[in-house]
Amino acid sequence: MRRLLVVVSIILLAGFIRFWQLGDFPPSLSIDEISFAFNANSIFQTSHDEHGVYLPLSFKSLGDYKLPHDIYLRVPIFALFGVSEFNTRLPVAAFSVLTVFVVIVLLQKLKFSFKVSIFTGFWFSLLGWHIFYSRSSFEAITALFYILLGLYWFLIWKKNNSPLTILGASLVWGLSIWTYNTQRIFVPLLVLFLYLQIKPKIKPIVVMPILVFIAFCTALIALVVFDRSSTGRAVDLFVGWDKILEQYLNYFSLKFWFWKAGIITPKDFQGLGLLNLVDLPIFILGIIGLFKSKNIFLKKLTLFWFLAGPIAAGFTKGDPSPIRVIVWMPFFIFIMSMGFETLLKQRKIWLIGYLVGLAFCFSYFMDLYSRNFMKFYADQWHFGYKQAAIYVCQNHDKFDQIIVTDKYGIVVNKIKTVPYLYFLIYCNIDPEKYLQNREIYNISFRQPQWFYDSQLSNTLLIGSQWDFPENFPKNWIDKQIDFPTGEPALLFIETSPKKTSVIK
Amino acid sequence: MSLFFFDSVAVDRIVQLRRLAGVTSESPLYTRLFYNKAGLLIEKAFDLLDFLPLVFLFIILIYLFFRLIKQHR
Repeated sequence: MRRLLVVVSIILLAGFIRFWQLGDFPPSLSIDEISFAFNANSIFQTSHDEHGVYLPLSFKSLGDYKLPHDIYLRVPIFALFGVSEFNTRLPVAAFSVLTVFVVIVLLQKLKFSFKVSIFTGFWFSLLGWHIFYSRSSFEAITALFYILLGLYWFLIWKKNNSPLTILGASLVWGLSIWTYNTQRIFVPLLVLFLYLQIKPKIKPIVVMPILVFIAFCTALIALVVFDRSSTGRAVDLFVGWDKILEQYLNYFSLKFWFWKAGIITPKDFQGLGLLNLVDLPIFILGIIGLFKSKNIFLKKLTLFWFLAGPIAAGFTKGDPSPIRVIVWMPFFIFIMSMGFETLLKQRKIWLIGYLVGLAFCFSYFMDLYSRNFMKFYADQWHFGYKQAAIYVCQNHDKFDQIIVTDKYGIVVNKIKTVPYLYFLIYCNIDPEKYLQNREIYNISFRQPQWFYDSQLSNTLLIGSQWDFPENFPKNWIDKQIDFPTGEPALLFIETSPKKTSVIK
Repeated sequence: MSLFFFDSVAVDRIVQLRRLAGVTSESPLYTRLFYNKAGLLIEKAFDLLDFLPLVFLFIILIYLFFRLIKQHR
């Protein structure tokens, strides 16, 4: 009973951190979130995605061909509770909390003591790397949950040969490859690794789950072969054959792990590593613990994860990305658990010291996340379009025409946006009507051309500060939405030939 | 010689960048803690020791390689 209470408290803590003001923060749905929201609502209302494709297995969306799992996952939620920011973020945040629970039970299955499992669960519930992506609907979080749940069920099956658990494992692993792209590479490797560890004799109990898993993989391969467009995203991101090894090795960086991984702040700014700075000594203890450990399976599993975790990310270009190596997280969890095993055997003063450090690191994460994150990334999260959409929805009939810019930014005019999706969601446009005529009231989505558009009568121009002339009198601005830094995000200008003739 | 041997211009630049982004005033505590010479010292230490995971990786690979050879004998 006491144990149950401890587990429940950790789940509640994880839930509080991941669900607290979930709909309000981050204050704007990201480009992916808004796309998830509209496509899921469109599937619910019409069985077609935003491009009119019937129940797709790959969503063209913004040209990035999203995997279907997380979109279909939202359909029943929207059906039951309606479309909202909270409901859009709900499934991933829920999976994230469940992951904390799975981590605790999985560690126990891997023969860690209850105390160590609980302590790791507590640490994991406060891990910024996981929290940040959990609150912003990143599919990698769902995929991580499936992988760990599958592993947990696999371990149960290994012990008691229960057919349901191995079937469950193959089902969730199969689902995970339809959730996030890196799983397409990682999960087959994991399955192969586990197969080599146990080399089961071919019995019906083993054949069934293999068939289930193969069915998932075959469907995915068929999709890639017959629908070449869906691989476009992979081609765009591919780093090049000659650079794969270099990119893979880039992820083995102490700085990236503990100091600066670019999770919340841009490259040139102080931020967070994958783990907390205070975790470094525990991590070293964990490495020593790994070498000393007599649990051969755990040793092999940790080494497998260490080597295989960043393989998929190694194929993609750009700086090392914390989201592409979410699948690597279990390696760090296992090592930290081994470190905690040693720490908990030491004098209490060390534990208290660590907890103080952890509290500091967590408060630092919360400060970066709640106060600073939006100041750096407001434009990349399309901050302001929600407010613009709500205003226009209420006032569109007062104008003959409304022009909304699809390009803006905090420092320069460089962010290409998808305003129509925000207007579709916040104006409650019926997806069926949108699929038929592709119009939203009297709104056009393009950058305003001042020279021409200012001549239009009774038109509302919504643009960034760069869309209007420099000598533009500020008193012409009817309404303004600012970024959290105070820079103007969107300016609302009602055209009137009398006004515009002044600066022609 | 000062313990903090870093270029103070770098510190100023970081603080200036943060100020431009409107961050400094919001986080005085953390600014003091990390955006100073001590913060840069930690950063430098990470730069110097950045290769350690790679060393670990190569130790593991060499270990696995010899294990494989041993198994096949």
